[in-house]
Amino acid sequence: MTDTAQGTAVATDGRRRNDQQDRASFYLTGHRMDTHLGNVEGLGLRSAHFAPYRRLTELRYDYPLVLADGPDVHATMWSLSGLVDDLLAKVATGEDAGRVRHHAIELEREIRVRADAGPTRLSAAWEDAARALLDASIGGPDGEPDPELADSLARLTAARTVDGELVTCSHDTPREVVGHLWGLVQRERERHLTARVAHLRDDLQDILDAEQASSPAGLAGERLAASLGPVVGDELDTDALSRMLTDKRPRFTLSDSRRARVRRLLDVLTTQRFVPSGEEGTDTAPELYDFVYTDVQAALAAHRERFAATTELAKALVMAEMEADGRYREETHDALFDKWSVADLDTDTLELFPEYLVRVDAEAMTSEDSVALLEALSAGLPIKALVQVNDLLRGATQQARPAEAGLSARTLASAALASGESFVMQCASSALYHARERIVAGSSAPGAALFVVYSGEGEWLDDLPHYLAAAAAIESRVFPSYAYDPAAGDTLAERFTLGCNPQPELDWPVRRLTYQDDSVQRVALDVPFTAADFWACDARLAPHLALAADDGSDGKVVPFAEHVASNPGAWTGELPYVLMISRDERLHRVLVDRPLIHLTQRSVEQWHRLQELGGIHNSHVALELARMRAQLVAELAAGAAASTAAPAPAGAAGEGAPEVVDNAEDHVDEPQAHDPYLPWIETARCATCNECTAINDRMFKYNDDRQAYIADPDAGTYAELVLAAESCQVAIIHPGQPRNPDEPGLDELTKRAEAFA
Amino acid sequence: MIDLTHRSAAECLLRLHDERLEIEGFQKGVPRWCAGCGDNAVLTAAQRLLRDEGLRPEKTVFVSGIGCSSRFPHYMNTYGFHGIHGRALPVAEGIRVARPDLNVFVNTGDGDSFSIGAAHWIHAIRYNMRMVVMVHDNQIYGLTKKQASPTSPRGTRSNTTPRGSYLEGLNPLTVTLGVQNVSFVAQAVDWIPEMLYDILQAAFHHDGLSFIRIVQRCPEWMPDNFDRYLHDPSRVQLLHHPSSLSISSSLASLYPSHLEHDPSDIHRAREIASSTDPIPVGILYHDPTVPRYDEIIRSEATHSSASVRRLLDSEFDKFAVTGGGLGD
Repeated sequence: MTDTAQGTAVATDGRRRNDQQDRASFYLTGHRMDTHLGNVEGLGLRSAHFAPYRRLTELRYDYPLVLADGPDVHATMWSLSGLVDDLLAKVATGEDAGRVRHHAIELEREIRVRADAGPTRLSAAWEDAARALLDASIGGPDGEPDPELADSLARLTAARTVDGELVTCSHDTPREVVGHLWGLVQRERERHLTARVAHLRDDLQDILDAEQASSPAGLAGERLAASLGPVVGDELDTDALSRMLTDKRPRFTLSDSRRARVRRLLDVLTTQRFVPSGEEGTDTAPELYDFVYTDVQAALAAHRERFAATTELAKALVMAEMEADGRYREETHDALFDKWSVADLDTDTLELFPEYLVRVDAEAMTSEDSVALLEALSAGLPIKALVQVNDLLRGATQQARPAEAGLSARTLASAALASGESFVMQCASSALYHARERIVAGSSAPGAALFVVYSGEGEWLDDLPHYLAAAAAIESRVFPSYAYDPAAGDTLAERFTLGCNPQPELDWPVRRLTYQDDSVQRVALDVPFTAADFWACDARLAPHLALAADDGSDGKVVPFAEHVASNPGAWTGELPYVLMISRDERLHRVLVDRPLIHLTQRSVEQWHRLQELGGIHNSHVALELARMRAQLVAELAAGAAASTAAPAPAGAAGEGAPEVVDNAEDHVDEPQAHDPYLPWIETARCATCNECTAINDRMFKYNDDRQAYIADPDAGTYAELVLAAESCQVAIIHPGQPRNPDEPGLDELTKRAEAFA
Repeated sequence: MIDLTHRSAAECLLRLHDERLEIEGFQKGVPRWCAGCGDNAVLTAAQRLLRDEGLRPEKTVFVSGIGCSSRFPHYMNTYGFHGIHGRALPVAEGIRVARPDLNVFVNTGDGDSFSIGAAHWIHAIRYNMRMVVMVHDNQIYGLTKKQASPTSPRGTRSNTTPRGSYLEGLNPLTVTLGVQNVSFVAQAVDWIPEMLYDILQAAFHHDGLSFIRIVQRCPEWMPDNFDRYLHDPSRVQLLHHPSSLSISSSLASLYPSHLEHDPSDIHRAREIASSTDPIPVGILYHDPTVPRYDEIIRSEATHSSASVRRLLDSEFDKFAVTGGGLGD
């Protein structure tokens, strides 16, 4: 070994040592002591899992959504792809199915491009897209568009019946979708209340009109003349007619108190501001309340402010109904309604009233807002809140959280979930289409509801589409989707659902990645979509990442999931990495430091708690299973020991065995044993034909169900009993034996009675 | 979905003045039917239903046509309309539309319904307005002292058919089950009061037109007509199903022949309906989803007070002098 060589070796050793320190320092603190760990900035890195979705407009997925016109809340939300598939099922049936399908997919892609360009309606985008396709197909000498394409498009267009707003996945999507679905539910609610108010108003007006019509004023000569019209003219003396109708005839009048009450109720129903009161187009109609808010506290204040009006209208509805039905009794009900207060508004009554929608960004909520919202949720106020989350990092670390800010949205959802009294749903905007029925359920559920939706918005996500960011948040368990519906049942199993999280039994869903290696060979890998894959896309966390050298000079690196599973805690000389692709579509191993690992571990722990709620890897179940298994093993062992020992006495064999069940057939109700000497009737079979009661109505009587029984066997003769038995249409009278031995003709009667013994 | 139709608070308060009536409260006068007549059993079943459902006399109306059965409203202490021959159903439909708050019952007979009123019968089934139709089928015109009716069995000797009727009797069940929009068809017999009551109750709760054919004895003019069923209980077949009626154990032991039948199956219902021996008793067909004409025409779009006013205004506007004026 030469000096030079030795020197080199020492230098290499020193370099290694430095490397080690550098790596450890990066791992433990995120600080780089040397610069040789590659900086990731400027590479445009995003998780390798996104590689297949680079060009989103060319893929078929849930977006854009079509928010269809029409009142049916369950048929209002379509995905464009679903709609096209639906049309194809109807249209593409013949030999040319393949061609139509091809054209439909082209059309869908064109529509998707137009939807991404800006807000539009399906019909407009559809026509535009179809025209563009046809224009592009013009070729050849005749200058005509492709006839086959024209045919396919015409058929698809004719079959399409749905139209509505096209909604792409963007910052505003959660607001639009939740607002739309809630709006339909609210309109249904308002329609019911409007109809009920209008109906009761008509009924109350009828009561007043009835009195007016039969009053002397209503029957006055001029009124009668006016009602008869000019044709009758002077031929009829309407004054005389009026006298005939009013003189000495009983009149229908209302008591003063009832008239006042009816007028008062009419007044309440007319001036209420919850729903239109039926007087369309009149200037006097009161201005209606607004129910859509962007501020939690403003909505709550409005609710409080209107509480007196709510109580008054609820009371008026009940009273008007009783009044219209003619069943209001002043002596009882006056006192009751005088005492009617806020406490008498039960959920059944409140369900009739319009509800409040609050749509707010989580980042804009103050701590007062959070507290107010949680209070409203647990009090079951009629408020549906959409809290839109744009920044997931904000709640995840203390550093990223401003001091005056309210609870993070995730905490808000967890707190509401823990209280267990209101509807809670958490999901990301990518899953809104799948969650549509849950949103409808939440909007129509009685009481409060909380929807927490992650939008995928944020400049730190670079040019990552909202849809991918939102989908990644669900996939990586950073923002799992779940729903809790207290109305769905009594148990947690019925109420809680883990929603649309993929592969919910795993910590992270495993996806297959395929790439091409340096030797142009195709390689497939099963890689979990970890939380680090999600966080690594966040530009603010770039300091926690480092690019691994391609030549392996960075020492031992292990896949992130493996590293977290082994949970080393301290520095063990290995660095975890995630696979990412740069803008030039090259695959890189990107090293991750410990603070980021901690961030991911928190989301995994949270996911484990959700799993338990959802019945996956539930610790109580596991304990119970272990206990039962141990019991079974013990029983088997005891059984084996017993069989090798002497046969047990017969008496002991039954011990522990299931109790012998009485397998006798269900006892059929035997006809009750009757004294053969006493007369009786099979009362339940009596057809109430009056034959026996016509013979003797003291001996035969009807019970409460108008079926005959023998009330008094001594109230008549044996001859009457026998005659009744003979004339009974259903032959259910049994005369028994004569009770008076001195009755004449007993021999013959006894013989006749034998048939009815 | 939310249920916005219930009115619990009002109902609870109304209970404070619950004027429940016993059977006697629904009885008016003394029935003039012959002693032993099956109509009495129907009367009792209807009165029991009104009592048990807590229906109020002023909210209930019985409509009838002409015949023995049609004397029914006279014996009910409710609103009643003894109509003209064969026209019970149109009258009832009018009431249904004008007074949707009333509980409408129709009592008619085989002659009234299937002969002179046949057209109304078919169309009432199709219109499916909410009401309970009880056809008292005794297979004879009794009030006019024995003439053959459409359902009289072949060979019935009567004043109009002294040599015995030539034609096979009409089966009202299969005909009814063949009409579009049919929604509830049942058959009862007057001599099994328990089933009669159960069927009537199910019919009352059905949201549409419930057609019940009640096989009814006429001891005066057809004394032996149903003897074979009366004397041999095995020739009465009781229909049961978890989704329809169940049979009590005492009834089950009296009538040994049972058949499980799902009333949503119309083909099977038609098959069972065509059997005359054994005679099926129970609910043959039930479909609560059939649309009701009385609901369709009372829809908000055409009949709210606002829309009526709008229509009237637009008519009046045709006669109004508008715009212009001499000054221009």
